[in-house]
Order: sequence, then structure tokens, then C-alpha cells
Amino acid sequence: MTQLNAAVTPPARIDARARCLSYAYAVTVGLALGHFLLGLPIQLTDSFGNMLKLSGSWSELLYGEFTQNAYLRPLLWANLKLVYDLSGGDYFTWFRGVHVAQVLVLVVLYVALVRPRTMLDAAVLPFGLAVLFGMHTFAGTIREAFPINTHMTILILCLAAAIVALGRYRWWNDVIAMLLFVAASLTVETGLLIWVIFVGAALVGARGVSRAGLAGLAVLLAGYFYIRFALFDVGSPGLVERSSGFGFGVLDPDDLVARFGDNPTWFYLYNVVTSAVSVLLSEPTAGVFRVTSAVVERDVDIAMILNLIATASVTVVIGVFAWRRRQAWRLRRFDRDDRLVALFAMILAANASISYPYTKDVIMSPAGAFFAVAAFVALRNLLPALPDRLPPRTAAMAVAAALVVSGTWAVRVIGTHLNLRTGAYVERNEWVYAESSLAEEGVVLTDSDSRLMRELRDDAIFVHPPPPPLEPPLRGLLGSE
Amino acid sequence: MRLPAVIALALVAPIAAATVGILSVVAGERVGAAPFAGLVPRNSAEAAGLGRAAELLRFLEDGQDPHAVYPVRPEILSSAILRATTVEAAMWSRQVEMIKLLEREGAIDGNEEREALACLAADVKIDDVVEHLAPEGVSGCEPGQALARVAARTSSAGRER
Repeated sequence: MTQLNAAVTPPARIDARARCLSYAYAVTVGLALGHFLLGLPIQLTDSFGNMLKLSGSWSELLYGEFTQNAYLRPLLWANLKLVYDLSGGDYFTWFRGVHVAQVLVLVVLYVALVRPRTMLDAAVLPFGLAVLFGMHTFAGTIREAFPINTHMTILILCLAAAIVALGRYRWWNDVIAMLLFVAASLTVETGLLIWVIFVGAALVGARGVSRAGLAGLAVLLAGYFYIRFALFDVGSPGLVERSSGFGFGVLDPDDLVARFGDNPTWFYLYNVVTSAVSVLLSEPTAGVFRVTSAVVERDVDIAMILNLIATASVTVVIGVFAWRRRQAWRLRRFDRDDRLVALFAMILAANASISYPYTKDVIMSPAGAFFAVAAFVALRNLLPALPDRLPPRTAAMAVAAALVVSGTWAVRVIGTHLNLRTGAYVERNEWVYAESSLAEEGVVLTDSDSRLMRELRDDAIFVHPPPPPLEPPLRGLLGSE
Repeated sequence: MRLPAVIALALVAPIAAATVGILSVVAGERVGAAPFAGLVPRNSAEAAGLGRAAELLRFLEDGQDPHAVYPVRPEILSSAILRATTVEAAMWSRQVEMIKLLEREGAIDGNEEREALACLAADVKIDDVVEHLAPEGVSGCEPGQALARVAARTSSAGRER
């Protein structure tokens, strides 16, 4: 027990080769994902409508965003408008290029946050990045764009915030912290997690931001709620905003109102709990117990089981890490790795709480990204703590278990890439039928709207044709669309 | 080798293999090859049969004639149908939207062709396409005849060969 409760492996001297290898690997897999992202056109769904809105003036756009109902996201639109104006009409290059750049920034920040120090760390890094890319919560940050993926923006800001919060104090950290909070919170609601990251890090002993900086963040948080609820009366999303998963299916807004309209407390509680469990087990997803339903109906897909094994095994690894460190934590002795795992727990709780109005996997993407951070940290600490030798049978089982867990994440990462390739076809097919589907929905376009639609449609179909479809061996295992 | 190192290797090996696979696809596509590629349509009939609307439009834009009979690989429609026009092949996509798209592109000429296609849709058992092409119902169809006519092209092509 003494050994089990011993302090986390003392920080090794930083091996420059390990650090270089880690960054090189991260950028390589980021570029590979970027290649697949460039196979996607600008989408019809979620992007075309937004782009029509961007053709207006800055003042109209921002005024409208501060005075609308349910959502306060002015910087989301400012970000879109900026790239729209800069593009000069070359929308594909700019918007798809921004998405690729976002992925590259994300992987670099991931490595900067977990700080691989040794060659063993560098060896474990691919596993951490596989968890980052393979999580079901990550899929929505790459498969969709609006035409910039806001959730990806928040992931980047969250990782940047954690780096500042856990870093050495410098006077400008306070300013950066406040800028990050303002940028994130006015982009999308999950941006409020930036506040949780700074305060949470301080609670576990990190001193990257001063007390004055934390006080400033508290004032900004209060200011956010004042602007949202008192000044502009934006409010928060109600049951009628969108469909949401519940139990074994998805309920439409009308069903939600009929079922929970009088007292939505239980529904909100369901959303919070299932959102948190979703990150830890990949079941339920988006509020729907798909695997459970499949088990009940005896229609279990192997991909479902692989997902469950993958996520649950990482949760167990993180749990074991926390268990080994429990005495130190009780004594409030935290090192950087402890803080990273504690941050994951705090972000998971806060992220799930923010998800109370409705469940959607991508909303939990910050918790999913910190799950990948915690996975890496837990593994790099647990591996050196294993005994050098075990009885052959036990050792063989341990190696087999490692192979199975890693195999499940390999499958998920391939699935992530395959889904992007499938999306390349799905999105282009949508453009083919754009005119008829908009007409069926009763959407009337002005001449300039129609011009933009034809431009984007031609760009998706003729200028940037889809890359080849992929049919890798064992596709059935990969669980792609 | 120490056990922690062996387990670290086991944790990385499958992911490294997956990464190599993904990188080989990226590198291959960058140099114009297509590793692990699925079916890429070679003409408008194949694109229609696979339900790839965007590629179909590109073939038509490039000047392919939707009324012309094209060779179709056996894995796309069936091993018995190896030659088909674009609209005929579109039946196997089982997408009424594809038929409507071809209609908009001028690929269906007149009532006679429409009726013949409705009979083919009935033989292939795609109710919504039948309903779209013949809202009043198909009347002059001999069950199986339209399908046999399309299949006959394959056998006659085989005989000529």
C-alpha cells in the first residue's frame, strides 16, 4: 500500500528528443486529419443559412446577436463575419482552411498541456491523441461547421486556459485569462467553462493566475449574467428550442413540452447526469441509451461494444490513478498531473451542468478533450508504477488487455477519419438537391441568396470534387456512418 | 524487456498501425493514388447506380449522354446487369430523388420512356419511384419484362464478344 500511495513519479528531466517527437507526431496526425477535413465542402445545413446572415453589416449582425432570444453568441458571429469578409469570396479555402488550422492548434496545445517529458511519455502520447480524436464528443467538432466550428474554438480556448492556469505566474496571465473568458463566453455557452478552469486550477493549488486575476474573472462572470439576463434579457434555451435524447429515443420539442412542460427539473437532471456518464462510458450518447436498447432488442453491433470497452477502460485507468493519489489529495498535495486529472473531473461536472437544457454529444467536447488529457496523465504515471516482472500468465493477460484497449481506440480513430470521408459524399449530395429541398421547405431566396447558393453548390460539386470513397478492410468494425 | 515497457508497446502498437494506415491514405491521395479506395464511378450510369448524385452531375456536365448505354461493373447493379442507361441504373440506387434529379437534367424524354421506366421501377420494386413516374399506376407493364429487356443487353453484349 505504501508503494501504491506513493507520490506520483517525480518529474523526470525533460528529454528534448521526447518533446520534439511528441510535437512532430501530434502535428503529423493533425495534418492527416486536416487532409480529411479538406475533403468536406462548405455544408448546406448549418452553413448556408449562416452565410446568408453574414452578408449584412457588422452593426446589424452584432446588434441582432445581443438582442435575440435564448442564445448570447455575438463573438461566434464576429468570428464568422471576419473570415467571411477576409475570404473575398474564396469561401472554401478560408473556411475549410480555418478548420484545419484549428485542428493543428488543438493538437499542439494538447501536447503543450500534457508536457511529455520522457521517451515513455512520448510513447504514450499516441494513445492520448487517439482518445482525443476518437471520443464521440469530438466528432461534432470536425464533422460539422457553421462554417467555422464553434465547439472546436471552445476546445482550443479551454486547453489554452488550462495551460495558462497551470503555468508559472506572469503578470500578463491575468490579462490573458480575462481575454480568454470574454472570447469564449461570448462565443457559445460552454465558453463559461473557462471560468471553471481558472478557478478549478486555483482550488487545486495552481498559481498561473493571481488572486486579482481570479477576482477579475469573477467580475466578468457576474457581468456576463447581468448582460444576458438583466440588460438584454436574452434568457436561456427552453424546452421548445430543439429535440433532445431521452431514454431509448429522441423527443421533439412538442413531446418535451407535453412530457416535462409543467416541471422540467427531472428532465434537466437527466440531461446533466447522462451528459457526464456519456463521457465516462460512451453510453448513453446524446441522451439516448443506444447500447442498452440494442442489448434489450438483441441487436448489438460490435462497434457499440468496442466503443464501450474503449471509454470504460480509460475511465478505469483514470479511476486507478485517482485512487492511488487519494491520500496526497486529502492532504491537498497536488502536482501538475494531479491538477490535470482534477481539472478533468471539475470540467466534466461543469460541462454536464451547462448541458442541462438539452443533450448533444458535441456540447460535452471540452470534457471529452480533458478526458483525453487525464487518460494520458494517468497512463504515464501508472506504467512506471507497474512491477518489472509478473507471473507469465498474469503478464500475458496484462499485455493482451493493453492490446485490446489500444485496438478499440485505433478502431475509433479510423472511424473518425472514415466518417469525414463519408461526410464528403453526404454533404455534396445535399448540395445537389439544395434547390428542391429548400423549395420543399418553403424557403424563398432573393437573387443574391440564390447566387451565393449556386456558387457554393458549384464549388462543392465541380470545383472541389470529393476524394475517393474509402473501403478499408473490416469496415464493419469501424462503426462509421 | 521490462513489463511496463512491453505494456507501453502494446498500448501503442494498434494505434501506430492505424496511424500508418491513415497516413498511407493521405500520402497516396496526395500523389494521385487511392489506397483502400472503394468504388469510384467511371461513367454517369455507375454514378447513378451508386447513388452518387454529385458525381453524376459532374459526368453530365462533362458531356456524357444520359440516354446512352454505358458499361457498369457487376458489383454496382447486379452481375446480370452490366450495361444500362443512366436513368435505368439510377433505379438500383433506390432513391426517388435521383430520378427527380435526372428528370430535371432532361434525362427522361416523353411519356413512352417514362412508362417504360415506371415498369422497370415496378420490376425492381421501388414503390416511391413507381408512384413518382406513374402517379395513376402502371398499367401496360408485363411483370419482369422491363428488367429482362435491360438484362438482355448484357447477354447480347456477351454473345457479340
